[in-house]
Amino acid sequence: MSQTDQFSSRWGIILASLGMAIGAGNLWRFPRLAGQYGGTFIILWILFLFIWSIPLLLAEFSIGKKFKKGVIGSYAQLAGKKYTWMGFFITICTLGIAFYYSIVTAWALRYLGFSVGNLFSEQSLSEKLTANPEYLNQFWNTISNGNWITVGLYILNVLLGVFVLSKGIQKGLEKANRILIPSLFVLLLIIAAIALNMDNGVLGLEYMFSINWQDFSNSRIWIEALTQSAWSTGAGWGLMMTISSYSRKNEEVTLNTFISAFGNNTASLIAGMAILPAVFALAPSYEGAVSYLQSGNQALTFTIIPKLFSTFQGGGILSVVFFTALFLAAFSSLLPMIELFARNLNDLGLTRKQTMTRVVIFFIIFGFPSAYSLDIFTNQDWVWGVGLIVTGLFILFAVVKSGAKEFKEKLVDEDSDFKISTQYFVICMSGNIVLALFLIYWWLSQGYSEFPWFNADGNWNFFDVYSNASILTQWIGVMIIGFFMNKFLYNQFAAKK
Amino acid sequence: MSTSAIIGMIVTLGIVLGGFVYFLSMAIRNESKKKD
Repeated sequence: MSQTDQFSSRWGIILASLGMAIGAGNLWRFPRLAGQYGGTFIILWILFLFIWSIPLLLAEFSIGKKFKKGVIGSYAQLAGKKYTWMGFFITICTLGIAFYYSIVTAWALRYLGFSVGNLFSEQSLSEKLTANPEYLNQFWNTISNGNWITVGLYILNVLLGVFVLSKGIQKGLEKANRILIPSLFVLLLIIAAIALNMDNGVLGLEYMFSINWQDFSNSRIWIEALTQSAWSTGAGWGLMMTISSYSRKNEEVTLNTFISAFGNNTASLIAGMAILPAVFALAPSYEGAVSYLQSGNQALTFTIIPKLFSTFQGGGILSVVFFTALFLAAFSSLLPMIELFARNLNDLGLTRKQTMTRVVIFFIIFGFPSAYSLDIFTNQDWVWGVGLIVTGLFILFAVVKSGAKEFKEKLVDEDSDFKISTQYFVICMSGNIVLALFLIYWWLSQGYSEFPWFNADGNWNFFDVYSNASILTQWIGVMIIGFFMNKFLYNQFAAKK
Repeated sequence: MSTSAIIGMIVTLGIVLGGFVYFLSMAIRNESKKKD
């Protein structure tokens, strides 16, 4: 590996890990969950950071650093030839997310343009909403379904990501994150400072940090806390494995992972301390604020926040700041997702240019359906979002199979500035396998669709956005393809030097 | 703000933000030691 194919310093890899972890989920998902479940959720979210996310991230960092290949190749080398298809599943699952996640960057850009346009418009957003209360809902419906400008912006963002990454790790990914991450933290702090100074803003903090002890018996909060921690830190995605495959020879593992995980949670807390106070300060009533917070991710971010910001002087500028932060967060996470794909293609012996050309083609083809249809977007979010529990399970399996104790002592501790307890690591690895299996069972048993398996006509309910049938068909489809291509995948991605 | 919310906020920020600053400063210290 040439010197330019690795991070130039420890700070380069830390910023890339932070960029990977801090994404749209910190700004649009965490505040909603913190608002919905309050302090009980936050305690459990911190607990799962230690139990689930940090051990998995440590494992991923160590695997990437040791084998220096893409996810398929690194995974196969740790787990063994027979299990290459599991690495393939992890790759496809994260790519499945990347294909629709890139649409969020397009939405953020559209709302950024919308906010800037309102600043210079003769009629303010508040006046437009008085004339037509459905104005924001109509705008959201227009841009999220069958809109070619959104599709165009989505392609533009992919091209921008590919342009950055085509410059390589040091001049591309590392340089971009040196700008993106500090800017994002500054913008979040600005929003938090403004929101906390609003009248009634403190009510948002009270709501966020109040603990209702009875809520600990609500299993849904436990699941939401675990999934938010896993999805937000990037544990189990294979992204940390990709980033660390570009690490320097003696790169520190434990401390770098802790900085990434705690940095991500810090960003989430700042976002929560910005959005919740703003919602409580600007909503017409306390009950109104609570109902806004429980209205779902997309509604909160794209219809309620612009509406709330339109109600006070200077809200237009705050809206611009918020959507700039959302774009930066989403884009900084999109970069490693693209890199995950590129890293696997690099293992095939392709040049960086050839790799990036293929990345663009794949993203345009497979991302287009989600960019064009909100239903497909929602389905893919559901299928591959829940799929991250399976990918986490596969990584845990590989570590336990190779011997969790030896793995920890040889790979995690090798160059670490400080060491965590081996017992803690081993217990988390084994215990999380049980937890992951329970979680998959729990998700499927919930049956979010009216017809989770078969529709009213008795047919396999594949085309329902939220059905178990859709989830399992797509998961098993990918696993079968991986299973039958196992030998080919191993020879192409793992065996080559 | 209620007392329990204030305690909750201090503990949360102490663990998360405190942890982030602690680990970051440890890395900075270790890097400067390596340079020396």
